[in-house]
Amino acid sequence: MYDMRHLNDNEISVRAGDAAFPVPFREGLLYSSPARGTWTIAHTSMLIPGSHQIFVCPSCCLRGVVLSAEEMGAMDRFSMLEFTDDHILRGDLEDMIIEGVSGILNEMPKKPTCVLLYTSCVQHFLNIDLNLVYRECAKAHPEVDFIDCYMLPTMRKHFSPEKMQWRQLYRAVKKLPEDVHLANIIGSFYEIQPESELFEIFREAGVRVSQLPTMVSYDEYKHMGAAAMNVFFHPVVDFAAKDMEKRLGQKAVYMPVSFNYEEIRRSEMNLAEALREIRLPDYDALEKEAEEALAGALAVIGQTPIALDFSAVTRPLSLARMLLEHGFSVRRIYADAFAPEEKGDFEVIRERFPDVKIFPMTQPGMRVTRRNAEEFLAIGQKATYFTGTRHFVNLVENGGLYGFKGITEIAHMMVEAFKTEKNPRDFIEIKALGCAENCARLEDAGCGNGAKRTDACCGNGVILGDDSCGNDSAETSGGGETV
Amino acid sequence: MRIVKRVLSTYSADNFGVCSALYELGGLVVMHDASGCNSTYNTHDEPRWYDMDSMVFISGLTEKDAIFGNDEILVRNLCETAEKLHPKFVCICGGPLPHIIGTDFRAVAKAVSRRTNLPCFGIQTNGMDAYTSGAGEAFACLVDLMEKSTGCESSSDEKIKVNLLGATPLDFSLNGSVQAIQELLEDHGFAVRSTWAMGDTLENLLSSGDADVNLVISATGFAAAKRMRERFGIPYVIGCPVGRAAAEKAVSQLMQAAGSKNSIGGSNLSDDGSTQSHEENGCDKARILLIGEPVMMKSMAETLKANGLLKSDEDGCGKEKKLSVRIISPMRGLPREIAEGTDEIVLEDKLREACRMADLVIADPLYARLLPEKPEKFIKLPHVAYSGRFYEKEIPVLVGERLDAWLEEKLCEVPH
Repeated sequence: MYDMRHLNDNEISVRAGDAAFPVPFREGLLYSSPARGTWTIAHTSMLIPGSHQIFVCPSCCLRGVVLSAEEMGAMDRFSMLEFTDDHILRGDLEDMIIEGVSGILNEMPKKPTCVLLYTSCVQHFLNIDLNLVYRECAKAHPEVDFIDCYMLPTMRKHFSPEKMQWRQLYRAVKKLPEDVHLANIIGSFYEIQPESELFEIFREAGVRVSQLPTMVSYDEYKHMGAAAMNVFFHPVVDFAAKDMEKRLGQKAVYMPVSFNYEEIRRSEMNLAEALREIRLPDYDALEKEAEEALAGALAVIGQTPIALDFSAVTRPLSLARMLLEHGFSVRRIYADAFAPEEKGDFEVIRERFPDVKIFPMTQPGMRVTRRNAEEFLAIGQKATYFTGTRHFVNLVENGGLYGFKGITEIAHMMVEAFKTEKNPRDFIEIKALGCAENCARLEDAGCGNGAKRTDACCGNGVILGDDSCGNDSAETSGGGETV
Repeated sequence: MRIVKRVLSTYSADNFGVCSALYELGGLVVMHDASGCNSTYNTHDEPRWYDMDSMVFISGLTEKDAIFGNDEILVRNLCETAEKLHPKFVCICGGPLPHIIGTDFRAVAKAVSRRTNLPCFGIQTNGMDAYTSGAGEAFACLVDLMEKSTGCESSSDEKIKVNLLGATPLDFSLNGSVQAIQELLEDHGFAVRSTWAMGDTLENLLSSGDADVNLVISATGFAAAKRMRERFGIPYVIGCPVGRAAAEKAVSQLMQAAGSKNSIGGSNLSDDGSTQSHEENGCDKARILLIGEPVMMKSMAETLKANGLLKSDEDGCGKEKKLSVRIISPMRGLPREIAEGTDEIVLEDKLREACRMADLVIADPLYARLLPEKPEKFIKLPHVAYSGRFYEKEIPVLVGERLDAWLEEKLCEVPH
């Protein structure tokens, strides 16, 4: 075996004081670490109750998604059409998809509520007629909602695959008579922490909340069309929120998962305003609770070095700043790039804590860094893997945490991680943290494959070609217009 | 023609095969494609990813570079990374999109080689063929890097030197199977000269042209065996010593082949036609159906027959008993010598029909999805190249007599 040349930290990382914003590192070849808790498009699609995914791809693209489906125990909600050179050379990919989809659906004992039909980079480069494909599929199976979906990792000039994914996920939601007492939370893999003060605001306003991770029927999904607003927490979901605003007239309310008290208050006041509800939670009490939790955590953790990463929270700089300002010893931040909205936090860290090291997550050098910083407490799976620590907070994409209650919870999780030693491999190698549990939940509720539905709410849901997407068909083709 | 897969998986792809074959050798191995390929390979197909460092990366191809054919970015990134990480060689292969736009990996490799003075080679994978072809070509490319052997012949009292060709975790997992093969050969008086390519070094592989014989233990080793025969006159034997009968036959053929170096080409454990292709025989009835990697399956068939486990077979269509074992290798484009005696069936419906016709199926657990009403028909033999890491901990070591014991145990469990 080869004795690898290891790089030292200084060859890989950059001091916050010297780092460029928002991209501290030059792009090049990419490395993918074995920390796998983040969700892929195959996982995200499983959130729609009773849906079935069909991927049309060559084998190397299919392999990841089909084995993900197997691992989450959801192979009965997944099928594929595998094409080869023969199909490309014959030029009949359209027919192949139309016939293949029918072959799959006609053999199923019960047709799914909704089919997410994924095409890949090759079809888009070949510019096959996807409008025809989706129209014909919908015509042949009028009882099924078809959503055009895209696995286009190459075509990311305009839209990241995640942005596209979130938008398409809600495309089968159609306009219903507005219910001012209903709001959707969109774009979260996880149920938003029920204790969050957000729900206090909703309760005060007499508004019910609908979110995919708690749904148990396709009817619930379709009923999202009656909501008056969509609340979202991650910038990549803005594409979906704007689309729903345009298609369904639902107000988009962005609430960044910030760890800055003022920003949290401001966001929640915006929400209250949108709900026309002026009575806000008792922020003094919430802030006091968060402060006590952080002080308690600091008393336990002390100056233990802390590493955190971009896969754990969508605002890693905000989290790092908050912890640094509360006396914690944040030494490392793992991120390839930052969201523009992190600029303020970045400047504060650069000025006041310039020795914090920023490490990339996907640069080749990360493959040959020594993972022996076992003294660290890590927040996030990437930070856990790269430091090699056995004390970590297993958190992916905010984990449903938000606001003051979210800060309080993170402080508790840090204490727990500090006190408990765990083998990281048992946790971080599992793909899509929490997805298998969600699939099992749906299965238990009888809404895995072929969820509860009323016929009235399904069918004729082809997305391409209806009024909601006619103008978008070039846009939905990812970089299609570039081609 | 692979079209509909309602319940089945796919085999690991050719570009993943390249990475798996070269993983331990200190080379910079890059898949030219978007990032998804990389995570699929290292999550599902590469059990060494967590514990063993390597230099397998992805280029992160974008639509802009694909459209404008900007290979210079790829060349520059390869050179910069090579400069930083000091690999021993550079290999570039790719996924479906570079294949569609006709990226010339050999030309890219030449450009990188000129700038870095490193041995570089490109492999024209397409992300559509099976891992067997990619890994096979990767091993064959290494043969091209080998120096001509010194030509010194073994003296009569020296052990016969054997290269094991075709060892990757995709076929052998990390459960000790490869070490068991090495031990078996050493117990029979052979010296294992090199193992391509698990637990060995690039230097040792490249100097193994002085071996007396090559043992091709999976389809991935075949192209290298052929090339070594052409370049160094080393004969080869195709077969995996799983089961007592197959092991004995392998030992015997290795001795025979080594004894007639430079005069024998290749021999196959099953070259007596006992695993004749089912389709060639035109009979639908097979008592036992084996699905998987052809070299392993053919060797397993040898043991099944030799052990008389098929004695009570009722021949349903008036053909000879050799029809009792059918082998299906659902991998496109296998070399003729490897595919001989197997059927290449890739369509799900046809595979289902084949399973239905068989009394017993030995295959990766995912194939049991073909007949959910008949789970008792399937003996599960997980294969990393098919189900990835999912059943990895359940993969048995079947080398030597361990297969006989395993078969006996499994066949006892099957209701008659």
